[in-house]
Formats: sequence, structure tokens, C-alpha cells
Amino acid sequence: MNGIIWLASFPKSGNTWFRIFLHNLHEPDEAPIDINALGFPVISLRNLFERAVGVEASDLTPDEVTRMRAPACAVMARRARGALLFKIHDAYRPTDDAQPVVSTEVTSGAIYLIRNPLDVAVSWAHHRRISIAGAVDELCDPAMKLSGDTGRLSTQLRQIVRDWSGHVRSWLEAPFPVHVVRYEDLLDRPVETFEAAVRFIGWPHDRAAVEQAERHSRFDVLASQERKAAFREKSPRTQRFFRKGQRGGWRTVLTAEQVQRVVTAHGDMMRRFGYLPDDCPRL
Amino acid sequence: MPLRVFEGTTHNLPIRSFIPLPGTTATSYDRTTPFLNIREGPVPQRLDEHDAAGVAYECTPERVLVRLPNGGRLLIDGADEIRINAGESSIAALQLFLLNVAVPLVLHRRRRLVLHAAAVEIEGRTFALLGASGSGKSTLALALARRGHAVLSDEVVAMRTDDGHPPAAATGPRCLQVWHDVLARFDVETDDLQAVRPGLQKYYYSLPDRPLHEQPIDTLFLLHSAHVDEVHVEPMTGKETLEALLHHTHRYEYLPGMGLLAPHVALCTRVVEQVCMHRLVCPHHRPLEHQDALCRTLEHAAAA
Repeated sequence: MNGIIWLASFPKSGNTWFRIFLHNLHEPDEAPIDINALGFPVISLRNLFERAVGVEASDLTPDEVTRMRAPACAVMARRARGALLFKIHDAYRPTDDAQPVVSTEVTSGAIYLIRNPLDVAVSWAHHRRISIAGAVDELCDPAMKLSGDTGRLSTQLRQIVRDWSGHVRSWLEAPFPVHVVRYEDLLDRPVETFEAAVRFIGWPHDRAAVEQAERHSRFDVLASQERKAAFREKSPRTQRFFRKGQRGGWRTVLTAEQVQRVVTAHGDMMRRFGYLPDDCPRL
Repeated sequence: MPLRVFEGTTHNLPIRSFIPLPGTTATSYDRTTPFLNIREGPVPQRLDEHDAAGVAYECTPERVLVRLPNGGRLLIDGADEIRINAGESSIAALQLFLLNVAVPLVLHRRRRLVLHAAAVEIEGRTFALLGASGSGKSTLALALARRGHAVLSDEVVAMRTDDGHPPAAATGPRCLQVWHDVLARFDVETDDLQAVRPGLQKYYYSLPDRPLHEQPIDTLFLLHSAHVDEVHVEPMTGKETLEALLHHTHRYEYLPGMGLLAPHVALCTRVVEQVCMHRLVCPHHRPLEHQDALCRTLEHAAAA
């Protein structure tokens, strides 16, 4: 494929894990890649935007920045030789009737990584060092955003994420091919799931290379690297980025009310991806 | 628009402009240096056959077009003239983009090494502080200014790197551009400060006047966030220094289209040969909380 391929996800849905796999596949070696030299950066990095636009983001209003993000993607795609892959946590559209935040014209497709929102809530609470109730609130907040709370810029641009199912829907309804990767499938059938995604991206590969990249991306490998040197992309609020890498943790953490709140808000989308708990009250 | 002409100097660049530029010094200047003239005039919508372009700009080796929010356009024509079509852009926006984009591009054209950095003088030694957008350069410059140190320049450091002379930084605008939360942290009220643009909570914070002579740079510091517990300094290799100078070049993206990339790399190489760079490492994403430690580390470096 030419143009941009998005590695899109709601936060804490396996995006970094997937990028580490791709980097290991792209630059195969006997040893795993250094997680602190990880490629496929997040598109919301301010520096990427400013190099494409030609002025400081901090000299623009938030709305001007938002309007310029799609044209900035087009400039990046024009400057690149071949395909470009970027991580993204923004919803494809900030609201159902808003313009897309990325340029559709230069997009060839998206990998959409999805994870059970009940587990996302647990992971998000740890990542942000907030309560589970606070994390559930954010997953249910149609105006959820990242890097946009203080009225000033940090090293990342403001990202409108939307609530969990709003985020999923915005990407699944995008007008280009979208390949969905379930986090749980990466746990159950990693090689097959990674290989299907690589096929979608269009990279030449063979099964042995995918197997090696998968081995180099396993949780114990990543946790071991993080024990030796702090992961640059982890939140400063937390000790570890690679915490458990499991599913179902919500069962011992979320209260029945919190589960019900998530299911009430996102039940339709959860059912579509097999995330409705068997013992959950009828909707 | 007023017919009055404002004269001032910034980065040792004498300027005649139809609008005042914040922080320019209306004092003596080097009479041998040609004026930069900033005036209203025709500005094309596009540059034909441009060599490089971004969302807000187009470049040829002779001219650069910068498109501003609300329809304003700036044309940098050669090294001596900037023409402006204000469109619906406010005076404040014109001033801001002149200071932060157009004037630095003229400095590039005049073969200065133009860095995205701040320059400060501590105990008679001059340090340039480089860092990514949002890394806290202006915050640190403000903290140092509040401790009584002189800030030569912020946002843009224009260095002369002539043969036979050590790299030297010129005095920039006599103001910092600082966000409201940083000002609040230093107990500075924003009521009497001018916002850099309507709608932005970033303000001009005045600095004392300074002599316009250029000061040799003693050391370069690269502001760097990492998962560490304490502020500290790490030496950098020549290769790392060159990479950092290129990475933190002010408006680097314009240089290929302006035909200035190769001469710019030569300027950077000359600096690497003469000045050391150190990484000034700060606990991750919390520069505001570590201002005292950052200042003390630089003061210690100056005293060493």
C-alpha cells in the first residue's frame, strides 16, 4: 500500500504492543528491538505537525490546529517515500458531523485495535493513576480528550478521543479499508492474528519472520526490557507500562455497578465484538 | 494601517516596519548591516513553481510565502524585505508570525545559525538552551530571569559563526512568550500583559533592555525529559550535538526549499567544532516542578 496506514485504537488497547511487533518484523534481528527506539510514532506529536505546517502549534488556537491536522497529514504523505504508518488515538471524527481529523485522501487504510472496554477501564485507571470509577467515567465521556485539559500545549496536540464506542464507530465507518484486530485474538492466536494484519498492510513477509517478531514482542520480553530501563512512552505517573498484558482482570476489580455502566453505554458495540459478559444483566 | 515607520533592532537585525514588533530595541544598531524592511504590499496567493511547501508555506530560493490564519499572508523576498497582506489577520497575529517565523527566516537568509532555543547569561557565561516544542525553554528562561540572570533571547537564538570568531548569540526581542499557567506559577498576574494573539493564553513578559553586542556561546544545553528521579547533566558526543543542532534548527523544514540546507549544515558543523553540548535531563514531563533544580544546575555549571 502507498499513503498512510493508521494504527488506530482507544488508549490501552494493545497499540504499543502491535507497534513493537511491527518494528521487530520490519527490522528483523537476533535480538528484540529496543522498546525505547520504537518506530511508527503517534501522529499527535507536536513536532511532526509543526514540521508539516511550518509554524508553531503554540502560535495557533486549538481550533486552528485541529483544522490543519488533515492537511498536515497530506504533507507528510507527500514527503514520504512509500507507505507511512502512524499510531493514532484520536477518533476519526471528533463528532459524528465533524470533519475527519486525518486526511482521507492520503489514507490507504487502518488497522483498528480493539479491546474489551471493561479491561480497558482497568488498564486506563492504572495508566492515569485514577480510580476505576474515574476511568469508567472517561470511557463513557463523549468528549473524552487527551492532552487538552490545561489550555496550553505539551509535546502532544489535543486529541479528541470520544467515548469508547464512539471511538470504535468513528473508525469502523471511515471511508477506507479498516482491518480490525482484537486484543484478545492477539493473546489467543498471536501469529495468525499478526500475520493477517501484516497481509492487510501489504508488507512482504513469511511465517518464520512473523513468528520471530511475535517471539520478540511477548509480554515477558517487553517486561524484562522495562525492568532494565524505563520505557520512554510510559506515563510518568506509573511505575510500569507493561503491567500484566492479560484479559479479564476487570472481573476482580470493577464493581457490578461499574460493569453495568459500561455495558449500558457500550453494549451494542460490545456485543458486536463478543465482549458482553455472559452473566451480565439483559440490556 | 498607520503610515508611521517603526525602527528597531532584534537579533542584531535593524528593522523598519509599518507595525511595531514586540520587544525590538529602539536603540543604536550596526549601520553597516542592511535594514530589513517590513511593509504592506502585494503578496501572491501562491508561489509558482515552488521547490518545497507545507500547509502554511511555499518556498523558492528567492522567496518564501507564509499563509496565516484568517487570510493574512507574508512574503519574504530576498534577505531585506517582508511584504504583508494582512487579510483578516489581527495586528497581534502579524506581529507574532513576524517574530516567530518571518524574521527568523530572514536571519537564515543572512547566514545566521538560527536555533529553536533560549540564550541566557549566568555569572558571565552564556548558555544556549535547546529543546523540543513544549519542553520548557521559555519556562526555564523565565525562572532564570526571576533569579536575576540575563535572558539574551527566547524562542529564537541567532548565532553568528564567522571564521575566526567563536559562535556568538545576538540579543533577541526583550520579551518572553509565556503560557498563563507558567506565569501563575511565578505569581505573575496576566492582567497587564499583552496576549500574543486573541484567543491564546500566552503572553509577552517583558525583559530588561540589554546591550546589542553578540556574546560568545560558552555551552549548549539540550533540555531532555526522561524517567529519572533528579535533574542532572550528561555530556554529548559531537555526533549527538550535530544531530541536536539540526533537529532544533528553527523552522528547519523551510531550508531545503530555500536552498539553505547545505550551508546550514556547514554552520552547524562549525559550531560542533567549537562548543560543547550537554543534555540537561529533567524528570519526565514535569519541568515546572523542577525549575529550581534546573536553575541551580545551570548556576553550578556557570560557576564550574
